[in-house]
This record gives sequence, structure tokens and C-alpha cells, in this order.
Amino acid sequence: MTLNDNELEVAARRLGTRAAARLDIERTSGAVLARLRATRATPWWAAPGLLQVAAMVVLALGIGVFYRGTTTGHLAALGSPVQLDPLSVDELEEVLDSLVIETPLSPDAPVGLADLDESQLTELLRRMEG
Amino acid sequence: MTSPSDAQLIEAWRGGDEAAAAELVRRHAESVARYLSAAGARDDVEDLVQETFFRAFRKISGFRGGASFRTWVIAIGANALKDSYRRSKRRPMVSLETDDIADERPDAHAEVVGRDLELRLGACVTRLPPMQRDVFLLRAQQEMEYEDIAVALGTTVGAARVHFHHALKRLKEWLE
Repeated sequence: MTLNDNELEVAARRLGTRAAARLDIERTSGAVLARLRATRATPWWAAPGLLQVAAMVVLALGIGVFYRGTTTGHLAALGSPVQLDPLSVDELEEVLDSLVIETPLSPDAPVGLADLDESQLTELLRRMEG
Repeated sequence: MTSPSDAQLIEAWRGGDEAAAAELVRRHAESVARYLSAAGARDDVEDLVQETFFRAFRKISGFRGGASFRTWVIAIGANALKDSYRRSKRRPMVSLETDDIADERPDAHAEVVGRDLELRLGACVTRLPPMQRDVFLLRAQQEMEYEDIAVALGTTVGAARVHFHHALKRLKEWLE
């Protein structure tokens, strides 16, 4: 089949004519105007894209604040044994007496801080850290 | 009384006249639908025409009048179609408009031959590289001037002519 440019251009002019004939122009026009009205009625800051960005920023800030709070609390807990250093033996005993230790370290657990060995002191400090 | 020009309607729409926008849709929606269908839109032609005009009216300040309004809107339609492909991750397909091939009229044979060429051409057009396809459709289907096509597609008149020439050559090779 040999085609000349004219035949091809005639066929090209007919492309899509049926799809165009099926188009409801008034419905299309009405839908376009409705969308434009809806867009105009929405303030610039309430555009869906901006709201999404704002939501993401708030979420990121929230996660940051939560993470920072958790980390600070953890550091505070780690810092508690250090604060015990300036206390005298008597003061430490007083602190221990004020603590409610539900489970004794051992059946014959000593009551005085001076009686605790290194591992028992470590265990005690660990419990105080929570 | 003569009907207002596209430029006058555009100016009226910029001032908020909705009737002017509706008139622009009435004037050019069919051309946009023909282009979209030939470029590979399937059942979503009406939605794409709507999206095209919505985008056009939203960014009407970007219309400088270098090309005709119709050419400019069709270029926006080409982008809307591209976005639609990207969203649905599908390749452009030709819409096979076979609804009236079985015609009983005396000149039906010639028409069927013409329709056959049209169907095959439609399938081939969607295989062209996008720029060649758009130049071919704007020139052959929409009968636009090269100057208009060049402005709308962001190319030069010379390049538009070359694209058209290559498109025509390829289409003939594929169809023969």
C-alpha cells in the first residue's frame, strides 16, 4: 500500500472525532467551573498541598519533642546514682530506710549500707534507677 | 453583533467572568478531546478535557498570547495526559472507535477503507516519540501553523518542521 501525504493528513484530521462527539460539553464546562469555584472558596493556606505539609511539620515536631523528652528522662535516671555521692553513710542509710523494698535482696539481707558488698550495692542502685 | 474573540473572553475571565470561561470551553473542548483521544487517552477523555481546562483557567496569567489559546490549551492537555499515564503507570493506547464500521450505505466500502486507515494511523501515532506525536497532531489533525506549534511546545519553527517530517516518514513506513 502506497500512501501519499494527503491521504495521511486526511486520516489524521479524522482521528478522535468520535471521542469528541461523545463529549458532553455543557457537563464538562459546568464541572470545570464548579472546580474553579471550589478552589476560589478555599483560602490559600487551606490548599490540600499546604495542609499536608503543615501536618507533616507538626508530626515531625511532635516526634522530636517526644524523643527529646524520653532521652532527657533517661539521662536523669542515669544521673541519680551520681547525686548520691555527696551523701554521708548516715544520710544514705536514712535514704534506704525511706525506700520501700518489697523484695529483700536475700533472706538474711543486712539493713546497714556499710554491710552491703559491691554487687549488692550495684543491685540496689539499679533498683533505685527503676 | 460579533461574538467576542478568545482574547476578549480571556480578559473577561481574568476579571472573574465565569460565562467567558464557559464560552472558551464550548469553543475548544472538542479540539482538545480529539487531540487527547488521538494521543492515546481511552475512556477518560471527558475527565482529561475537564482537567485540562481547569489547569488552563487556574494559570491563565501564564498565557501571553504568543500562540493561540487553542494551541496553548492543547499543550496543557498533553501534560495532563502525561500525568495521567504516570499515575496509572500505563502506556498510551489508541482508542479503537469501531462503533460504526459495519455500515450498510452504498459508499460504505470507501468509508470502511478510510476507517481502516484511520484506525491503523491512530495506533501508529501513539508509537511516535512524544514531540513528534504532538507536532504531527497539532499540524495534521488540528491544522495549526508551525509558528503556533513552536510557541506552544517550546521549540523553534525549524525544529517543529523537522519533527513533522520525521513523524510523517515513520508513519508511512509503519502503515505501508
